[in-house]
Amino acid sequence: MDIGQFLETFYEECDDHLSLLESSVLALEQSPSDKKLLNAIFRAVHSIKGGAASFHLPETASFSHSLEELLDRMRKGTVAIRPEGISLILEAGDSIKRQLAANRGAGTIDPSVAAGIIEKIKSYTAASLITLSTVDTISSRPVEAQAERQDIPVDGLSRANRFKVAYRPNPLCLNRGEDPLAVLQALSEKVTVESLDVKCDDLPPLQQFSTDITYLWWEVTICSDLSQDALRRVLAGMVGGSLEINRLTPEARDAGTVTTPVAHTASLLGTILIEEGMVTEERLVQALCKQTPDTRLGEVLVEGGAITTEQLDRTLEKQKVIARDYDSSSVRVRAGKIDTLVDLTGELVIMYASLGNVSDMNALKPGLGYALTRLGRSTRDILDSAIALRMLPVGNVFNQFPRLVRDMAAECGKKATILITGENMELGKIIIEKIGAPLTHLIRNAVDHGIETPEIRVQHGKQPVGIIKLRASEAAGGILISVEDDGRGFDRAAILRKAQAVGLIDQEMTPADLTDQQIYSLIFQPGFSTAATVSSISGRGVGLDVVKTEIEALGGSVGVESTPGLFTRFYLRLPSNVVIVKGQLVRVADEIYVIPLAPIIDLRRPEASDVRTLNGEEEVLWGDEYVPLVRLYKLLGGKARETGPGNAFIVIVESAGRRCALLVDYLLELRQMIMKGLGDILPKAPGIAGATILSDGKIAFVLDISSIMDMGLRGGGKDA
Amino acid sequence: MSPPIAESGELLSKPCFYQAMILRVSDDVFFDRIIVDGDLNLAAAQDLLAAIRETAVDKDLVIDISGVTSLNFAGLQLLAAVVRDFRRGSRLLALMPAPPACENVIKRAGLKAFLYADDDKKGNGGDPAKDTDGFGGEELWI
Repeated sequence: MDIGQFLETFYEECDDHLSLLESSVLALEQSPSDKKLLNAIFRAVHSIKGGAASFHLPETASFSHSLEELLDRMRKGTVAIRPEGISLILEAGDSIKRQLAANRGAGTIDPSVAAGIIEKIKSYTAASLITLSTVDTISSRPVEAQAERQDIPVDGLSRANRFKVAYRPNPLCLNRGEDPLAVLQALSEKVTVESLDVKCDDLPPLQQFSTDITYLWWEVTICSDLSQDALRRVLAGMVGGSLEINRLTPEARDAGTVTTPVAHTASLLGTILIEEGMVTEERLVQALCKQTPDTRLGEVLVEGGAITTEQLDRTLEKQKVIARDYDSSSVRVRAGKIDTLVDLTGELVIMYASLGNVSDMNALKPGLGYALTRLGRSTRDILDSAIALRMLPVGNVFNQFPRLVRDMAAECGKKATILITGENMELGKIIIEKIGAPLTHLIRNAVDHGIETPEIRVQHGKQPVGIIKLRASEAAGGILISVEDDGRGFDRAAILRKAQAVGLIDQEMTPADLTDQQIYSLIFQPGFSTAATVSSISGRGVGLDVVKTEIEALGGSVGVESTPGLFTRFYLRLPSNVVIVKGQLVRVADEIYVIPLAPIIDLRRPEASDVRTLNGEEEVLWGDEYVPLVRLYKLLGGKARETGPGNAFIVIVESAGRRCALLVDYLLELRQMIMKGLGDILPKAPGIAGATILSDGKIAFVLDISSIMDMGLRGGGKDA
Repeated sequence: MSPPIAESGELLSKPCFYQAMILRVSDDVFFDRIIVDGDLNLAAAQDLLAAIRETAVDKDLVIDISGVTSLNFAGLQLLAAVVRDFRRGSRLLALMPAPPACENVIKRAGLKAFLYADDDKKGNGGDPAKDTDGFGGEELWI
C-alpha cells in the first residue's frame, strides 16, 4: 500500500497535535501538578513521533523521541517541571512545526537548531533530576507513574461524582448584563452535563410578564471528579444567582434521577471487566460499596485481589481505545468540496427565489403553492446546513494568543496575561483564516504599547500583571470581537502631535478642537505610529492600517475606545461568513444597492433643517453631533428621485472611527443575501465589494463602505 | 422574506437595527399575525410583548419567527412565556418555526424546539393524525 497518500492527513493531524501541545503546555505552566495536561502533551508528541517514523521522516521522529523522553521523565516524577522546562517544551514544539513545514515545502530547516534543542533537553534533564523529596520546583509534587489511569473518567459507577445543581439566576440579572445562557454554556465546558431540566413553572401570565425579570431556572445533573466543596468553589466563580448543589447517591441514580445517560457509557470500566470475564457482577458491586470519593474502582479491585495490576492496565488501555473511537465521530473533508457544495446550494437558493418571483402563488393549483413553500424552506435549510459545515470556532484563532502574550511580555520586560471568552463563537472558514493577522497586530500593540511595565503599573495603583481581554460575542449581522488592555490608554495630545507632524491635520488644531472619534480615526491612517522607537514587536505604524484594511475587506468594520490611564479597546465587527451578506437594501436613482449591516449604526429620514453647510462641507445633525453627508447618487451615478433631506433617507455608517451619513432615495428591506464576487470579468470597482442577485433576477451591488467613505469624504459625494 | 413595510402593516418596533423589526398584519377577522424579523433581543422582546398585549383577545394569534436571525435569553424566555400563557387560555397560538440558529439557543436552554404550527390555524397544514389537542398540526411544545 502506498502510504504517501495519507501524508497530508498526517500533517493535518500534526497541526492539531501541536496546537494541543502548545495550549496544554501553557496551562501546565499555571498548573504544573496537573497530570492530565502532562499526559496530553506526552500523547501529542508520541503521536507525532509514531507518524513521522511511519512516513519516513527520521529527523522529526528522532527529535520527537528526545522530547518524548523528557516528558516521560516528567510524568514519572524523575525530572522537575521548571519554568525553563516549560519554555524548552514550547521551543521544541516550534522546532517540530518548522520541520514539518519544511517537509511540506514551506521554508527550510537548519539541522543545527534541532541539535541545539536536543542538547538543551539533555542539559535540562541532567540539571533537573529529582528525588521524591525535592521541593525546589514549581511542581513540588512528582507526577505519579500511573498518571495514565487518570485520563479517562473511569466510569459512571466509580470515581466520577454526580451532582444535581439547581441554578436560579438572579431575577434581575438581565439588567446587570448577565446571561443565563452563557452560564449554562460555560457550565457545560467545565463539567460533563448529563441532563439539563429547564423549569418554566415560575413564568407568569403574559399580562404580568416582564422582560426585565428572569423566571426560568434549571436543574442540571453533572458528572465531575471534583468534590462537592471544590465544585461549589468552581461554580460560584462563574454563576450569579443562587446555586444549590447536592451529590447524587447511587440509589438516586438507580431510581432514575439521571434521565440522560452519559455519552461514554459504553466505556465503563466495570462493564468492560464483566464483559471480559475478569470479575463477576457480585464482585463489582462489593468493590463499588467499598469505594470512596477519593479512591478509584480499579484500585479497589486490585487491592481486593479481584484483578491483577496487569489486568487493570490492559482494561484501561481498552477503555481508552473505546473512548477514542467514541470521540472520533468526525470526518475530515477537503475544504474545496464544502466550498463547492455551498456554491451550488447558493445557486439553488437564487433559482428558487427567481421561481417564486415568476409564479403567482395564488394562481397555482392547490397543493403546488404549498409544495413550493416547503421547497423554499428546505432549500434555505440546506443552505444553512452547508454554510454551517465550514463554520469554525474562533477559538481556532484565539488559541495562538496565550503563547504570543507570554513570549512578548517576557521580551518586553512586562507581565501580562490574556483572558479569552467566547471562543466557541463560530465564523466562516474564510474569515477565520484572515482575522489571525489583524488580531495579532492588535494583541502585539496591546502588550508593547498598552500594558505598562510592572513598576509603572504599581506606581499607578494597578496590579503588576496587565490583563488583555479577548472576547467574541454575538452582534447584529455577525459577531463582535474586542481586544482590550488595561494599560495606559491613548494619549490624545501625542496622537495629535504626530498627525500634525506627518501633515494629516492643520498645525493650529488642539486636542479640544477634535472629538475622541476624530482623533482616534487618525491612528488608522497609513504610516501612523506614536511609538517613540521602532521595536521588533511593533511601532512601524503599519499595524492599524493593515487591521483596518483587512477587516473591511471581509465586510467588517473596526472601532476603538480608550480612557487615558485605564484601558484601550479595539472592536471588530465581522459578518458570520462571506457567503451570506446581511444588509439593508436601498434605492439610489434607479438602482438597488446593498449596504452591509455591520457598519450601519442608524437609519432615519432627516428634516431639511437638520442639514448645514460648514466650510463648503455638508453635514447632517445626528443625535447631538453633526456628521458629514455623502450623497450616494453623486458617487454611484444616476438621476436620484429624492435629493433633498426631508424626502430622502440617510444611513449612518461607522468605520475605523469615522462616521458619515449616506443619502439614499428610499430604504427598502433588511435581508440576507448570497454574496457573489465580481470575478475577473468585472474588475473591482471603487465603492463596490461584490454583488447579489435579487429575487427578480436583477443584480444589486454590495457597497464597500470604507471605500465609499474614502470617496465621499474626499468630496465625491458632496453637493456642489 | 418580509414584504416592504408599507405593504405589511403596522411597524411595532422602534426603528433600530440592532433589534428585530416587528410588524403586525391584521387582515383577517379570525387572527392577528405578528412578524418578527431580525435579532430578537431584550429591546425587541419588550416591543413584541407590547404588540402581543395589544392583539384582540377574541382573535387567534400567529407569531411568525421564521425571520428571527438571532435570539438571546430575553427573547427566548418571552417565547416560552407566550407558549405557556396560550396553553392556559382558549386562544390559539401558532409560532412559525424558528430557523436553525435559534434552535441552537433554544436547545442550549434545555427547551425542546418550539412548536411547528400551521399558520392557517386549523390544522390542515399538518397531519391531522398528529393533532392531539385540537390545535392542529404537529406540535412540539416546550
